[in-house]
Amino acid sequence: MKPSDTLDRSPFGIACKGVQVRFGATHALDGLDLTIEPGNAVGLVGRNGAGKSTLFRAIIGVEPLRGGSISAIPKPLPLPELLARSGFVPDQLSAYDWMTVGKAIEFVAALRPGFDTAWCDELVRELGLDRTKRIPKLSRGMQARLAFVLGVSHRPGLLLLDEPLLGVDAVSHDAILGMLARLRVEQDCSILVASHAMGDLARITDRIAFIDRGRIIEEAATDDLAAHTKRLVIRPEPASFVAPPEAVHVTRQDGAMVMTVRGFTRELLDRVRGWVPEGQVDVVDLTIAEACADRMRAMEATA
Amino acid sequence: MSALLAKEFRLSLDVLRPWALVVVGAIIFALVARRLPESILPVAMAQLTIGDLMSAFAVAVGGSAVIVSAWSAAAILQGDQSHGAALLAASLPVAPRELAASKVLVLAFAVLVPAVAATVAFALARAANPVAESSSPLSIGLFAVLISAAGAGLAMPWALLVRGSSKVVFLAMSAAIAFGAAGALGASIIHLRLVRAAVKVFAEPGQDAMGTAPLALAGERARLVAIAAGIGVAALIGLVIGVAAIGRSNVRRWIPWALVAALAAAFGVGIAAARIAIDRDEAFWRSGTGTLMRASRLDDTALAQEIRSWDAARRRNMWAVPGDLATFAEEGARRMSVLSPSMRASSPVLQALVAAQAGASRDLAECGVLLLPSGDKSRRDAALDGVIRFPESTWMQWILSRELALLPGAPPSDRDDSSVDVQRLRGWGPIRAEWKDPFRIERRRSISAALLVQLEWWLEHGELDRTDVQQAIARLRSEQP
Repeated sequence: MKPSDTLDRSPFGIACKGVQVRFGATHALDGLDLTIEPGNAVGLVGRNGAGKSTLFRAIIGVEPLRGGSISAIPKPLPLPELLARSGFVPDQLSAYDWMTVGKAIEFVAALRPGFDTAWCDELVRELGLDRTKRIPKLSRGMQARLAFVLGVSHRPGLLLLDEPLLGVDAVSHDAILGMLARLRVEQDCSILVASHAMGDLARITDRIAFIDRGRIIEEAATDDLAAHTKRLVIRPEPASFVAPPEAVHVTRQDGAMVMTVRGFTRELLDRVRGWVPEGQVDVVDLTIAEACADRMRAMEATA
Repeated sequence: MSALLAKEFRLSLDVLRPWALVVVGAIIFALVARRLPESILPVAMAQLTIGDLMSAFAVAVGGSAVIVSAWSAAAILQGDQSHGAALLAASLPVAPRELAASKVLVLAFAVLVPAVAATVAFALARAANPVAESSSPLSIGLFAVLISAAGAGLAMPWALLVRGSSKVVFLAMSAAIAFGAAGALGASIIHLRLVRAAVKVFAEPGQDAMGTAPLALAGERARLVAIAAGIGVAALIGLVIGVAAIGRSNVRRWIPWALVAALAAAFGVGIAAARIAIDRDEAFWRSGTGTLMRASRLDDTALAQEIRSWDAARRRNMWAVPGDLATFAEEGARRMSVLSPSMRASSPVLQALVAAQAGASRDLAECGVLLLPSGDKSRRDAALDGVIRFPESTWMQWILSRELALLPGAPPSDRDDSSVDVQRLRGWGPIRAEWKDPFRIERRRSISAALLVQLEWWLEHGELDRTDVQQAIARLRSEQP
């Protein structure tokens, strides 16, 4: 049962069309459409329970689909080959609790075609993992590091990362991001990554997709997201207004109205200024993390 | 050993290790207890031999194999999840067929372990305490393997549906009860049919009560077979759907349907198994009820053949004839009694019954004459022949008298209540004062005299063979004082 050592490491993408996953009456994924082109990195942002982990589980075939399809692009692959050529890093370490770190790595190496031992050793060294330590004894951060090692040691063409930085300290955090960046540069691998550390997504993703209640509700290029998402602080708070379609999130703060908008333009600013001719409208630039956070607040408000 | 197989073996140890500890603990306890002074042991325990202990151990291990195997199935199928590696296992590029093969291989090992332990214990018990009629260790081992495999098969679908090994074992055992009940229900339908068929062939009221015990026992045996078959087929379906669903999440959704199908299959197989069990139930078919039913199912030619066999056997030694053989003759008599005279005449059954009378001894002839249909020439001829050959037989005289009275234009018999009288004559009825004569001489004379009158009348009217009638009259007169 020793797998073949040859593995096609060329990047490939995933096309999800109308994906439906149900848990009883709950629609965990409700007609989700998302495409990750080969060589692209997509960040997945959403609230807890929005369907991020379910999407990962559906891609690796754990969750049966009630509708829609998930297929590799440009060429459809059977599930075992898709699994062989992709790497999955779950949000919590998944490994047998009786094993040590070294045994877990050996186990995965024995079953993964193209397992790159040298690369694995480098990862273990960089991330400071102790091969003799038993898995239940690992700290949360160490578990996340081991999950990363187990998921990427075969240099996959598609990386599926579900909260890979959860609980990781600053040093390992940078090391993991560095390894991911290296994988992208060396192999041009495709990535689907879900993370609450949204600022980090900017460093490795080309696009960010927002997921809410099992659907992708917005997708944007990462660069555009920061450039075209602005926060408008309007003083005094207008007595009456109609929120423009560009508004993502509106809140009131100290007698002012704070409105986050996407697709910011001069024309939009003029329109908003028209609401308070006597007042003042300040335009605040946002980071990726802030832009994402405001979208999540908006999702929370509509939930 | 491959990493996958090694991992599955490790998962099986979740069950086999604690089980082995319990087994070893029980053995150590038994050995220690045997070394303790008898005065501190309960009497029953002090009297136990090594053979007794091993027998008890074999029964306990073999009987619990169904639970241990179900538990093993749960541990092996849910082990990835219970050990926190479900996603790792799912994300590895292992083909479902390879995954299923490794799990089934280890499950087979887990199934064999308790079965082998029970067999070894049984073999040791037999060696320590030989019992000539006990089953062989091989058959006991095979039985334990079947029990064990059934436990695994019943648990597999549940292990893929619900989480938690205790839940799986509970559901598997509950399902076994349901599948067994479905099999028993199927058997009941077949048994009911058998009972209805039996009731139809009971010729006399009250005879159905005689058939109750064999029918009930046959039903019990068929029900046991059907229960075992129902559980067995459901376990097999569970095994197949379980193996198919390993590593294939889209197959899992069919498991509930497979369980429903297994219930239906258990019912269907219960019917088939009960039918086969009843068809092959030697004990039932050799009982009086079974023989009666066998006789009722034979065609006339086969029935005539059976009657000839019965006649040949009773002529050899009437006291050594198996009672059930007479049932064929009784069935023949029943059939002939309901046939029209024209159809009856050409029937091989009537020919066999008539042949049974020809040249028979008095005892056999007296028994056989009643098998011939009343009012038929065959009975009249047999009775006339009986009177000629055995003029002292009041029974033959009475039969002939009754038959002559039935002929068209015949004068009435002297007494119409003679059937009651004959019962009394033969000692079956209550004895009235006039019957206190132990030899019933007066009554015998009365029948003989009445028959003489009838025969003399018939001598004048020519319906019967004159030579025979004259011979009968002469024989009867010679018997009179």
